Amino acid sequence: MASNATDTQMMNHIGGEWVLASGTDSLDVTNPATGEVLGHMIVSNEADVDKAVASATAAFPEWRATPPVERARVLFRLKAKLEEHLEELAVSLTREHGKVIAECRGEIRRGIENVEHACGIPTLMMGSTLEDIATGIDCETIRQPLGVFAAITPYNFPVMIPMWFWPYAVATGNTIVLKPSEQDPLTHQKIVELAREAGLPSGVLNVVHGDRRVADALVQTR
Amino acid sequence: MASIYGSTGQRCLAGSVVVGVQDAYEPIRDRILDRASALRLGNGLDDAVDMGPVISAAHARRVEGFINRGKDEGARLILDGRGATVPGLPNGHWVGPTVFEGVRPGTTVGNEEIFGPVASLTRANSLEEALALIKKNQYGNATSIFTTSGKAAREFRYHAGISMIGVNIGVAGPMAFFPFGGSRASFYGDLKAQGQDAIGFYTDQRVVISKW
Repeated sequence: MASNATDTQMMNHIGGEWVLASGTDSLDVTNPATGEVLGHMIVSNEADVDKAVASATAAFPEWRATPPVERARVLFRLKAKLEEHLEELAVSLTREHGKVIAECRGEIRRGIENVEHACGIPTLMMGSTLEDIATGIDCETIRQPLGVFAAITPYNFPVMIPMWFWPYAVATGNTIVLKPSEQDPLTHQKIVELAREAGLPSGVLNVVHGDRRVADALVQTR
Repeated sequence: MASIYGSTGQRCLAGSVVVGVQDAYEPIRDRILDRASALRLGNGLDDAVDMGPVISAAHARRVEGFINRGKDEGARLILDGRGATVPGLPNGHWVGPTVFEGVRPGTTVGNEEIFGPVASLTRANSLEEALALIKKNQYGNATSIFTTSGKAAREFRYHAGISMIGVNIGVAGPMAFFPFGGSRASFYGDLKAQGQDAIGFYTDQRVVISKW
């Protein structure tokens, strides 16, 4: 997995670039079984959050206009990459979370299943039509994406739970800012890199790292 | 057992309170105690290990705090995971498998989400009494029944009032094409994760009425 982010430095992902947060505080990511320091994180500040939201906002019109079948193709390619890297992702997950390797393989499988499900977006997102609700008048429903979403996800399933959210958000044509748990964000950083490689356009999936201060800044964004 | 001790209890569907109905109680207690005692704690990358650490030192202290509280409130601690150690891994955040029995409704360990490897056992005289225990708790994420009776299973799913229900399944975690989410104090919002709800959450249904 090629990455602009190193394996140990957590980077924000904004506008398709891996960038260092500009905050002043830092946190370590550790292996809960050994105490080994696995990674370092700079806590994002409000300016970093604003940049991520601005990036997601800017990417929305073009992504929304991308046909659902093309959005699904990105997810199909991501699914293939996740299968290819499943074992290394599982090892990474055990190292940062602590759960046993078989459970980590299962968690990544649950994440992949959400990508697979979201690949069905051309049918999942269809609307409905009824002709002649009154004489000569037709009625239809259309499902339209809403714009920019945010997801703040917990430490206990740091791969699966983000994938309950962002694959659907992007499949439906929205863009999103994700704040992973600061306790175990490493494995998901690898998955974001795979999503880039799969062709997810810049600004569609943004990541800001940090603790609850970053979560608070994110939910207060207007 | 996977329901209680999988992911070291750190999952939202972790089995927490185990209710044995009538004569089923003693065999359930004995089997949980036997198997919990045999779980091997250690680094999750080692295939011989059954249960890893909890996420942080702070969380280990929190779980141990719940165990202390359970003892103080009068539950019988029949397997104590406090102060667990693993040879060669002195810096891990270890809490061993823990089992309480005689856990009363309304007590802290009977009510709260411990999010650690702690089973709280109690006895009920009937399925109705067991269902009443579910209703007394503010949370409602997942619940399971283990039975050979189709009638009991049917009664359980009819009356439990919980969003994710397992019948002879300990972790009733819906797959991607079904909705994942709880009820009561375990849920905030109106649409769940995954499934068709995920599409509903990320889109708005616009209605267009046309006349030409």
